[in-house]
Amino acid sequence: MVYRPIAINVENLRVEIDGKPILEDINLKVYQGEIVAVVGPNGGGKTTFLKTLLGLVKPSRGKVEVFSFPPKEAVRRHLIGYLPQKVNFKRESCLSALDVVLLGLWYKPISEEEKVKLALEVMDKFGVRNLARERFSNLSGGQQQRVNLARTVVGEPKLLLLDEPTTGVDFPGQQTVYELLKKLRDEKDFTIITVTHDVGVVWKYVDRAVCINRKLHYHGEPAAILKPEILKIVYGTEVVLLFHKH
Amino acid sequence: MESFLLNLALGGFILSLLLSLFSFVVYFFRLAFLSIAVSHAVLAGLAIGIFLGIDPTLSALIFSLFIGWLIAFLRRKTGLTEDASIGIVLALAMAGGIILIYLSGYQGNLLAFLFGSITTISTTDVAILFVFLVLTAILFKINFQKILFLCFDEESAYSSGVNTGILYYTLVGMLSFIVTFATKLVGVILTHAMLILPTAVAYQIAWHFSDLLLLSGIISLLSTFGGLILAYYTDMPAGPSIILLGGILFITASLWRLKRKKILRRGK
Repeated sequence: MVYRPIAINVENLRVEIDGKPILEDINLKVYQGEIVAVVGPNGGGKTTFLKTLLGLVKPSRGKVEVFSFPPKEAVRRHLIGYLPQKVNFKRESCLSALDVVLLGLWYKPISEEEKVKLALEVMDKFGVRNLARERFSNLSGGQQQRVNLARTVVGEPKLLLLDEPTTGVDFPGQQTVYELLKKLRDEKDFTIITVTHDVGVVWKYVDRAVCINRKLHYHGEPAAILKPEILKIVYGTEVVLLFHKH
Repeated sequence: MESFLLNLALGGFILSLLLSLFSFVVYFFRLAFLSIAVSHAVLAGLAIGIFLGIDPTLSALIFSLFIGWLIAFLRRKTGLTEDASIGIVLALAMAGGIILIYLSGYQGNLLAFLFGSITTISTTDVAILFVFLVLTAILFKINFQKILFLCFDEESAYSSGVNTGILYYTLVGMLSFIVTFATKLVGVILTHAMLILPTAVAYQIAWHFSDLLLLSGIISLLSTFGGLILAYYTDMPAGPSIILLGGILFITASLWRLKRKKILRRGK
């Protein structure tokens, strides 16, 4: 068996916001190079879980480590790339798509020319190189999401935390994004945690699935999240999945 | 050259550049109301100085720094909206200032501080402005990508290792300082015109932030020196002439943008 270092170690995690428990008794280990999907209903604590891994939300109890560091230290060491669910982007900031991707390289000790070359290469992989000189605010939601994904991965952080990475992206585009993330994992040994609602798409591309609805309800084979009994536990109601055919 | 003319030229030049740089920060971080609150809190800062028997300009600078940080803190940490936090802090600061003036028995006119004149800039003022311009240029040069990132999205910037808290409070602190100092030199109205108009005009024309920065500096210098020349030849007051010229530039740039949009639409 190949030894894989632990990328994320969460023990007995409890998070409260304004006295209300958002996450309870979460225990999870994620190994380097794994792709893990976090699924669950709206308000189930998925985004809070990612923010706890980033140190943006403080646990009320329990331990959280990212590559054996407390989250804030992992952030300080540029070990994490984070794609938020919604970018609080100010329209008037006049950034081109290329500028946005370049932001992900701010700490790299390389020349401007090298940064631009790297950024364009990654934009090419995400199919947005042709938009490099467009103003970011003029792009569609799906295009912005791809540019933002390129910004998240361009610095090659060891851990990618992606909150709904395919929001606004059409169905074939969603598959392309997940295929690309899987390819990047194979090439760069990224560890990827992706929060998603696209259970019908994501299960094919991840190593494990984790279902969170305040507590950790399921943790294991990704295909199992499609089983009605697990979907019912996670969403609290009967769920029928519809699949696209090509 | 007369020394006051030299001071006016140098002071006007440096102040225009400085305020155009912060104009960029104010516009991108939407801090226009914060800067207005800070400049009005100057009055309370002066009152503290008089009450404690220390230099009022120094107390005004320190107090406005505190006010800028307090508003920024309330916005970031308490979830209060920008207008609510500014409203609370501004009202309290003004009330506190008036009470302190009453208690100190001061008979002078503190309001005069809020209506300075650009023609009275001293050599010391020019030296302070120059040092501050150098410090600002260094801060921008070293941190420009981080400032852009913070403006783009704070959580993304934080997760990439940008110390967003320190950077934001530094920008607000420097903005508070320059707003207070500029208010002392040229008055509250001209300070805000020079702080808001250059980037607002440049935004109508520029496509990219680098053009925006350059244009903002050019527009700031153009309005300051154009306004001063206008005042010289027409005998009008200098401050309002500068603002008037800035306003004309803004209207012209906006009309140009509207026309360009129409042409582009027709082209489609």
